[in-house]
Amino acid sequence: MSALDELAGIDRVIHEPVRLMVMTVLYAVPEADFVYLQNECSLTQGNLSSHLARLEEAGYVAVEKTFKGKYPLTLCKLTSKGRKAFEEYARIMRAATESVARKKP
Amino acid sequence: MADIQVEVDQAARRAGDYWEIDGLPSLALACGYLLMGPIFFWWWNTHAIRRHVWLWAASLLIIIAYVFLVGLRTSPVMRWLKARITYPRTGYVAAPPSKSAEAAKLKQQDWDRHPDNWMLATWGLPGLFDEPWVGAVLLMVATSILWGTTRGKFPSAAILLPGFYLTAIVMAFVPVAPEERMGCWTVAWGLVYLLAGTIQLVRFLRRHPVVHA
Repeated sequence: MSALDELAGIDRVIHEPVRLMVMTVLYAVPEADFVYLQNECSLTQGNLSSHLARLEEAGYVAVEKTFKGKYPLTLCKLTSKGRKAFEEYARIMRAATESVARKKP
Repeated sequence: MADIQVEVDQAARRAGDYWEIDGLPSLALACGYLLMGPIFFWWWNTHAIRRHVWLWAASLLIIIAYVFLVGLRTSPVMRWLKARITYPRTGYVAAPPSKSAEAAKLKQQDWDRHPDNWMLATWGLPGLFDEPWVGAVLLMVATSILWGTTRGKFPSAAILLPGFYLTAIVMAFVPVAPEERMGCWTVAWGLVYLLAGTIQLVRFLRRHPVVHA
């Protein structure tokens, strides 16, 4: 299967721009809370909530309600499935980009 | 796709820098310097350390206790403060894992841009020379290297860099014995960090109201 053919089967859960932003941030750190993600991705509460729910449903993100002192935290972290899916997504995109660059006249 | 790796690296960098966003680490460092300065000054000024070795051990214990209770990321006082001041405003993020290759690379790059490393490198030098201007020149050189390598891209650079230059100039003319100089410089740095941390904290509190998620 060529690199461009692989693009057809790309993970559409991650491919959505907002979810890709969230996955990128969560891939870089062990865990982050809801407010941090909201600031980092410049999203509204509702928007982030719905995308997090979609990622959680796919099994890519684990969401846990906890406390740091008295401050309530909604902690989010990538699951191992999510981490692998993100790496696979990155590999396919890299291969496609390199393939296009090689074919450039 | 190489861009995704760049984005991941940048997200890791921002998460690493996030710890200093509120000025609390600068304030903790300031209090540490302000605690250590008088101890050093007193050691050398009274020559107490020569008469009572246990004083040296007790002072060292105070400094170590301070570092573990307040100074470190995992220290209880710092976590308590962050949970009340920072997380309700801009959220919580764990620092990137220190064992990863990306974190090691970032850590290496961070050494150059972190003011404390350069300042600590010149810390004991003022006390080694009879002429006060030698230590002052060394601090100015260290500050200039810091400025050159970072272009001032670290928290509170606009306050810390002039503060270090000013400290060097003032200390070049302050008539203190070489053995007392280390204590004086430590207090001076404490004041510079106190100013920088306070301004950073006030700015942070003004810009970020408490968010209810």
